[in-house]
Amino acid sequence: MNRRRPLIAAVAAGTAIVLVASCSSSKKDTGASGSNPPSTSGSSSSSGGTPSTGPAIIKGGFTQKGGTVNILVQSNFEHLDPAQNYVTNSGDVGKLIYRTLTVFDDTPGQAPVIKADLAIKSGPGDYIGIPNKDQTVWTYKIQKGLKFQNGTPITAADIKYNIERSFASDVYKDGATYMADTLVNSNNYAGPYKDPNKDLTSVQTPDPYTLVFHFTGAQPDADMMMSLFYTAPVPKALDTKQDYDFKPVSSGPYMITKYTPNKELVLGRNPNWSAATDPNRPALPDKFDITMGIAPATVSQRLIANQGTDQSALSIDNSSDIQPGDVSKLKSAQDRFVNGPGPCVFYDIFNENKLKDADVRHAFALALNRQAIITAMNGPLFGSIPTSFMASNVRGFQPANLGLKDTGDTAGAQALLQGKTFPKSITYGVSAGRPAQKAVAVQVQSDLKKLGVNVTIQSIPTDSYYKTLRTDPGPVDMAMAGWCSDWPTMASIVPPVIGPDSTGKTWSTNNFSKYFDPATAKQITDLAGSTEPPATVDQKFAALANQIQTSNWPFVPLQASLNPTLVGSKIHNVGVSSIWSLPNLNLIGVEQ
Amino acid sequence: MVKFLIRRFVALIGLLIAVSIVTFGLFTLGPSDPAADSCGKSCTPERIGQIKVALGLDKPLVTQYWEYMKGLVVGREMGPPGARYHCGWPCFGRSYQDNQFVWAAIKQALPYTISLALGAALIWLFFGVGLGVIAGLNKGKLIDKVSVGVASLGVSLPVPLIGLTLILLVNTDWHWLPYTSGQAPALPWDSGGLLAWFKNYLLPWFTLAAIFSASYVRLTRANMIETMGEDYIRTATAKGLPRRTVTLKHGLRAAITPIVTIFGLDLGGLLGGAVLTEYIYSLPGLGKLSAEAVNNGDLPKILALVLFAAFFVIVANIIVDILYAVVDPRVRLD
Repeated sequence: MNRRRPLIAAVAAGTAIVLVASCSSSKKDTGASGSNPPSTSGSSSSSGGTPSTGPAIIKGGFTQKGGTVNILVQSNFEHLDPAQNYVTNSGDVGKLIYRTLTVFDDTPGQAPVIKADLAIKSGPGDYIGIPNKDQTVWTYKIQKGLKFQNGTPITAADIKYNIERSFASDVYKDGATYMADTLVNSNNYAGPYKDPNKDLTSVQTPDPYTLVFHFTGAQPDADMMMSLFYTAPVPKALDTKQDYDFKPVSSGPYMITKYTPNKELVLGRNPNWSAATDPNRPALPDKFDITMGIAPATVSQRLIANQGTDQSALSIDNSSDIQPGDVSKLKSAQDRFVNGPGPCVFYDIFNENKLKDADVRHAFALALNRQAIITAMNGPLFGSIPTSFMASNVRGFQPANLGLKDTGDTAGAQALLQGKTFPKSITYGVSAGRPAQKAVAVQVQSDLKKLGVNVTIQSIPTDSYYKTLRTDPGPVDMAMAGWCSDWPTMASIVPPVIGPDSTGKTWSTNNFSKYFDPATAKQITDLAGSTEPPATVDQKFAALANQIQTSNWPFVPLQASLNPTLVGSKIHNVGVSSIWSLPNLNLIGVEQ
Repeated sequence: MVKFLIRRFVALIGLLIAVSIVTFGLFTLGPSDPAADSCGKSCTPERIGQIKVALGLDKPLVTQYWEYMKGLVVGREMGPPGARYHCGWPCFGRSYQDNQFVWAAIKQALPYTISLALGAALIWLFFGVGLGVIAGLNKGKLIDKVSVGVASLGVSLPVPLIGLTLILLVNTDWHWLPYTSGQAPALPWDSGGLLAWFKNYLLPWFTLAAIFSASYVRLTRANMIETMGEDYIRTATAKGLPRRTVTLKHGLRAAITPIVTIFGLDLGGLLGGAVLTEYIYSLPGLGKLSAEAVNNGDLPKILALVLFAAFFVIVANIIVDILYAVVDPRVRLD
């Protein structure tokens, strides 16, 4: 999700989470907030000592129902309309309010598993949906007897309607676009408002409990694609369009009972939600009381102090609950602290249209002191040195044999540059609003200086940072980027990050290194649409990605994001979701 | 007086229009592209075009500006075909960031800022003018030096330092006051009552007042010293008037005239939002709204808040001019 803009992304530098693409939101920081390219921000201070990461789950095994969970966040949620909700923190709340066709079981410490939610597992093997032979058509059966908060039944038409809404780019500017990107004939459909008589023919509802999706190509990840919020049901009769953000109709365990933007959001139980139909959501607390507008430093201070109602509190801002400067205070709160990897990895990209020699790129990678860079990105509490440009939670993950030393290998780099022609002066782009990027740039400047390369740091306005990196050949030789996947398969990472665009003739939008080779581009495209068994595809994908990484060096992985989380002493069952970088609110409980 | 008010009202409108043109031009002609920024990872030129329609950015700049100004006065229709809706006056549009109507966000934030600004103003006026008078009447004495020193210390400490220190001590360590938050009572008659409102704003008031008091102490002190050395003060004293009357009626009234000017401008500026104080104390006022709008590149909110701040400053100037006539009999509003 974007910022997780989507949901995931975040990161390091600043904020981050969830899915990534454009990012904005939320989690801890590194910079991104939720989306694929995460925003790279983050504060520039480094952490003091590093407390142990503690257990994978804080006070797990809690089953007591009731109580109120207080959530402290620094700002308003961007969107609660499921057609636009694509950032990690609002996504975490969205999962309380609405259900989707499928949902991830992201139990901390275990590999994420996709499960049926509104859908009934009907497909062969591990599949939830029923694919046709070439996996271009997927059929989903949904449960009967499900109801919205007002008691009206949930049908396939309600799910299709929200998918149609996600096409209405003239009304909704945010939200995941996978459906519009992959469904047949989607270019001819503009949502349900512009021409209400037009139908999204690539999604059919032959009966009230069946959905049939027609994709332009094979979609082996369809089950995971269905976990995004565009498959949350929306009753057409209650669609308030732009105002749906403020009063989405609940299909999940909780419904909005009070919402004053920028101040407070209160969720109470949805009386028409049936626990029997929803094994993925224990939904223990009776109420979630979300207070907005609290400064991150204050959130951190309050959670550390653990007083009064803050004993039942947590934050779902990745950048709020622990500030780098507060790390030393965590020693007294070890039993309330958990840390875990998220879906984001940050890397320095080499602009291959400017730095054209792979050996030079490799040498520059060798020279980088990645340990110092981790410190520059808020310290080891917020990230670790990665072994690939993919997060380790990705299905079938295999580390790349990078051959890099944590503290840099100047001698190795110099040896590789022997006899090579390489630029003695390069530019490194940083996002103007992201102090952590500047700190990383200074470290890169220092490391490459040892090779006789002068690095000029070029500040790029934050709003146009990624747009600038996409220009060809672009103004910079190096820059920081990252990726937070919406679901943990290589097909959601490799094609966008080092693959071609939809024409197959050039690099894709988020391939900031501008790496393009016709042969590997075809291999990547073929693997993304392969109908071979997932394990086989994963193995081939990992081998190809690692081969590109270690032979071409389009980038050097710098930081795999971690997501330190501190909660009040009465909060239970808290772990860090490797999908969302946040605690799954549907799993937590609170002592009364 | 009526002529004066009419003249100033016309000037106010003219200034606001000028500010709106400059602000609108700065943001729309700048490098930022809200449609591209919102486009996400699967961005295509077609999608950017659709988002421009959704945001109303597909129309010529002059049309955009005219519709914006029209919306402020009589409201306007917004949204694409099939999803049109009416935005009633004053229509500042919808936030790019969270889809909220900007006017609704401002209305919600304004009471917090008013509570903060007025409370802090009372405190800094009381201490600033009070200490300034005392210091001015006791020039060179210990109390003069202490007053000026304390005031200088207050203005020397940045708001984040004062604010975070007070929160750490008063809220976290000593538990004397509750943490402020988005749920803090905005007004004395909100749920929680006067006491809750007072408790929530006490630290923000003193933090903000500490910054402003120093200049009032120094200004009042200097004016008092100058005024008390005037011939008419000597004459009043020679006539046998009580010292209290000489000081308050003849001395302070004359010395306070420039204070009124400064106070009007300070208060007008603060009503546009006390960014740092609101941010540190988690008060969802106009200042915090401004900071978030800038961070998020939320142009509709930024534009509205700039206009709002300009409005307050201009109105404050008019009020100051009126008060001049009250405080200084030599001034006539013709």
